[in-house]
Amino acid sequence: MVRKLFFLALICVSGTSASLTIEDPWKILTEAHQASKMLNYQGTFHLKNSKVIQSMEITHAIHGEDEYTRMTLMDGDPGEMLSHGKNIFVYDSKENNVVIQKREQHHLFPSVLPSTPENLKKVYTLSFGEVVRVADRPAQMLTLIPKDNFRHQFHFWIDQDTALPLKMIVSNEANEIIEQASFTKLKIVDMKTDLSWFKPKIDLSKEYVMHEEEPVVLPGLKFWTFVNKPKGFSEISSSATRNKDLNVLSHHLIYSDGLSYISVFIQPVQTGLMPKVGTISMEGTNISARYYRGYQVMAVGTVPMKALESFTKSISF
Amino acid sequence: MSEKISSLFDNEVEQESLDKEVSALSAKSAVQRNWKYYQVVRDVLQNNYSSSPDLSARIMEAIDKEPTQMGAIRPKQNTASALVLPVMPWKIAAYTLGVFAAIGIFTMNIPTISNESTVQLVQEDIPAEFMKKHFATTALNGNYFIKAQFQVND
Repeated sequence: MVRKLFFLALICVSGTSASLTIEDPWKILTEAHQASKMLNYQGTFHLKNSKVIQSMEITHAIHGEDEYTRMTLMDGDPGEMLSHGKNIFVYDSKENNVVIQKREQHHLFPSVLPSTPENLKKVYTLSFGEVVRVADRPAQMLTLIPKDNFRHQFHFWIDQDTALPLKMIVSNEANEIIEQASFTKLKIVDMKTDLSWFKPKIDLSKEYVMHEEEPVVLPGLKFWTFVNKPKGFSEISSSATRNKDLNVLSHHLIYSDGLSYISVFIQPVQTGLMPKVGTISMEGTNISARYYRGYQVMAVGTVPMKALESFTKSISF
Repeated sequence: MSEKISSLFDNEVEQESLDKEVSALSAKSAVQRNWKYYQVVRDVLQNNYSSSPDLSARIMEAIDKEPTQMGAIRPKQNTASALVLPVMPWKIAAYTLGVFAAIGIFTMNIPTISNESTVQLVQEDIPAEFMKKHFATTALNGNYFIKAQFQVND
């Protein structure tokens, strides 16, 4: 009898402590990242940019410890992306040929969330919305609201069953939609032993052309600094290509806060060519250009212009 | 109106109504700007973009700004001072030259903006190569990622 009472008391105490544990709300983003990387799924989603809607078919699977993805454009000119771990190849069909290009990285929907939300916590506020139906599945809506005006708002609809992001909207300060992706069909499948789908669709009537970039070893020291970088943005990649006419390098740096991306290009201006200055906005994609000490400095990104100008105006060397 | 633009690009509009749609769209300058930017982004991604997409429009604009010539060949010097100076009394001429000299000195003391003639506004020649490299490395949108084929410098 005493023993029964002891177990009853233990259950009550553990139940109380469980109900008092407050789960980190940001954990849902980590789970969404893991779901997009670890689940086996097939589906179709719509992409909307510049008021143009495109459909994309996706197959994603884990085979052994490796991640495989195939994305196929369903509208307009054919095109595909096949990725196996860090090997990413794009097959872009033209009128007479298919250009194959190797890429270094991708951040494509639905794998858009970073592995850890720590940096996002510094620059966004997380808020939860309603549970709504997306692609015939219940999804938890959540919004990442920027704490400053150097980035846009991100809205996600996370599958309640699997934590896979089912829908994403990027909107600006005026609540205008900049970018949108949304599953219309989704199947969680078991493809652990089958990789027969992981191949490009071959068009025998076209010539296949490999468009490969030779890597250039970056010099040890970078000669520039940015005095006034927007908070939360850190360099995630830098590459250089040798200019064929001048014995100098053109640099491409990528900065990110985990969701927003800014490309900064620093390249010498050749004699006879006019450097570009000023700003331009093209349906969500902004560009800020500056001529500085013989170099063209150009920042490009789907972020507010202010964020781009922080880079172009504060470069120093 | 923006929906109509995208419909035109998506070939969703019947051929017979195309002229009517284009005329309606051309009426507003903001729409013209949008139209141009839709074209630019699409052309950049399809590798059809040339560095001067509106070259013909700019040539026509430059021609429009040229004064109409009515048969006679205009003199190369068309400033009023060049014609009037020889017949002016020397005091007035000296005063005028003094004023011009003062303006010249004043102008020379202003920080030079010589770059004005050697730089180009980014909207006059949209940097397609930079856009493509950006889309090819950072796009969240698979369509932009796949269609952004960039040229290699080597």
